[in-house]
Amino acid sequence: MSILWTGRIIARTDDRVANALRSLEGAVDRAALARRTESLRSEFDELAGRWQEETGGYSFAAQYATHPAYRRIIGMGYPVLPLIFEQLEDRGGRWYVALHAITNASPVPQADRGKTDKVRAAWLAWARDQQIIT
Amino acid sequence: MGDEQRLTLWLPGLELGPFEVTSPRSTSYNCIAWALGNAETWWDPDEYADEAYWPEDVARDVGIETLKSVFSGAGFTECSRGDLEEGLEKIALYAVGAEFTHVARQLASGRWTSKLGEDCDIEHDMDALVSPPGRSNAWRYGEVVAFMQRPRTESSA
Repeated sequence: MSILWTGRIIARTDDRVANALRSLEGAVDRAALARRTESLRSEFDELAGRWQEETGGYSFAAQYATHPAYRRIIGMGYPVLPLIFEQLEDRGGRWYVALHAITNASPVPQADRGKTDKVRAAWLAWARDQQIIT
Repeated sequence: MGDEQRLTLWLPGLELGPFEVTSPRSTSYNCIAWALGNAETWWDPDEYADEAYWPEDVARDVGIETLKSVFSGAGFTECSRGDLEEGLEKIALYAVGAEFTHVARQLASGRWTSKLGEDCDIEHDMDALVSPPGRSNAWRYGEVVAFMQRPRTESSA
């Protein structure tokens, strides 16, 4: 076997190994995220319930997004995202300030801002694309 | 817990006079939209509140002067009183310090209508939403800091 062929086989093998490792890494990440999410659920449910009860009458992010419970949810970071998206999908809600703060993403086209259904759909599509939710 | 009881817990001033819940809860519109006679848009100057609309030519802050400029753009001018005047539609602007928190619209009957955040619309007395006795002026919506008016039309009656 020539050195050239051997090199190609090694390269192909390296690619397969790299892909397998990436896939394994992704599965481990998702499994770890799922375990972490479950352990966060009760804290998130308590904070989200308190936040909704105490800020439901506010219209503006300057009031509702500065509530200590909302800020604590933001502080929970990336692992809390599946729980936020779960609420967003089931009940809607004013989660976008938190989503921006945690993800630094902006999936909503400027023209769709203020259109509640389109905003929610854009964020949920982004979450599926990022494999945060299925 | 019924809507009336829940709202009274949140805004104790509602206990001081009669009020009626006039719509179901909704996240589709808020108090600014409702004051403008619209039940389809959520308004908020926060650039990260994706659910919200804000006019491009108005500052993105919660200063009371900013709220006045929103309503100026819809034909309102500042006035000194919130009492009922024939042919005029009035709004009451609420603030904590210099930051706006809420706006209510006067009905042709002289009572007021408000959309309470993502909660219900209610018909109420103007003072029912201000900080109740024993609370600081920074409680919930704070206090009424300005009135604005424009000619009342058929649709705003």
